[in-house]
Amino acid sequence: MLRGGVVALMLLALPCFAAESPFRTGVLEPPSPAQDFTLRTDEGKPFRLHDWLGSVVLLYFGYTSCPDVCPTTLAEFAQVKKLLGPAAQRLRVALVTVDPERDTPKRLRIYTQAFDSTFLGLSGPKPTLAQVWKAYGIYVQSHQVPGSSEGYVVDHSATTFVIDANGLLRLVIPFGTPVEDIRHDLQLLLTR
Amino acid sequence: MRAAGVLFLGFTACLLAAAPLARGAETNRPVSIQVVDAWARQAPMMPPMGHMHTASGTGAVYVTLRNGGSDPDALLGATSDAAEQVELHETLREGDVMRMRPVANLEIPAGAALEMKPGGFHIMLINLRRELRPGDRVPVTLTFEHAAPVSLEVPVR
Repeated sequence: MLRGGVVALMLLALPCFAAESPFRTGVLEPPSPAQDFTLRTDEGKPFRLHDWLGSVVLLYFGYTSCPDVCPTTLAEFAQVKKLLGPAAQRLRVALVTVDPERDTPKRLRIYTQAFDSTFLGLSGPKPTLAQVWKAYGIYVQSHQVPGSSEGYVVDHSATTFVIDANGLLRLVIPFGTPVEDIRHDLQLLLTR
Repeated sequence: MRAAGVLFLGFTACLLAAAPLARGAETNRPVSIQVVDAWARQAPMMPPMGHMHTASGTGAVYVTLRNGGSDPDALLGATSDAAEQVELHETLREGDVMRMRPVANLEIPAGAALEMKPGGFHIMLINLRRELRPGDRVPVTLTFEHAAPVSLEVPVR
């Protein structure tokens, strides 16, 4: 009975310890395996997410005609990568398109390379992409803009997933997270 | 370091020169729009897509404008020879979803500032005519309801 009570107390105490998270961005608890997928790289080659096991992965969803949120995010990741220095050798960054109609592999390549030569743009047939969006809970909705020269914009979730070297989903980075917080958390994951 | 300082001074001088005391068209009272900050995000040129036949890209310019006058004013639009079209846009956030929409104009209340920033208001450059590289300068002219147009050389970063 006493022992049971102690166990119950320990269980009650656990969430308190869990709350003392060393991370500053959104923690996914418990970590679950990141859904694997196969898409096309920006050079047109097949790419499996599991190919990146052993690296820490930033998985972002966006599109190349996006002038505000997407380039801001990629520019921040490029900045983080520089701040991390040699530790960033095990960091991978992928942009999965939410606009397959317009984002050809070539466009994705030029777009991602403008920020960092190691960043990868991923595309594929729309049904395959739709499965990936769904697996990661990414909202994607094209929106016609009457009177705008842009034609349409794509409303989309602008969160980034962080996958650790074991292929586990660990963190969610909302848009607008300070670069220093992202660097801090990635440093923790990269040096473990 | 010195080079950066000179660049900064150059930019400040450019801003000061570009912050005129204009006469309001309707009220005939002085209106003062001051450019507090202005920068553009780097943007690459990409291969044609869809119906288009030439390379293009999209870019964003962020300015912060202060209305030092006693009457409200509004930013009505912008032009730039770096892009075929220039529009005022707003990014709206709903949970984790970002939605971008054009806006007709942006009000600048008297004595207040209009701040543009990533994930908020921005000037969108559509169908870029050239790549925007860090260190480049983009000419942008802002037009207002009352104040005289303001021309800027916006640094790219």
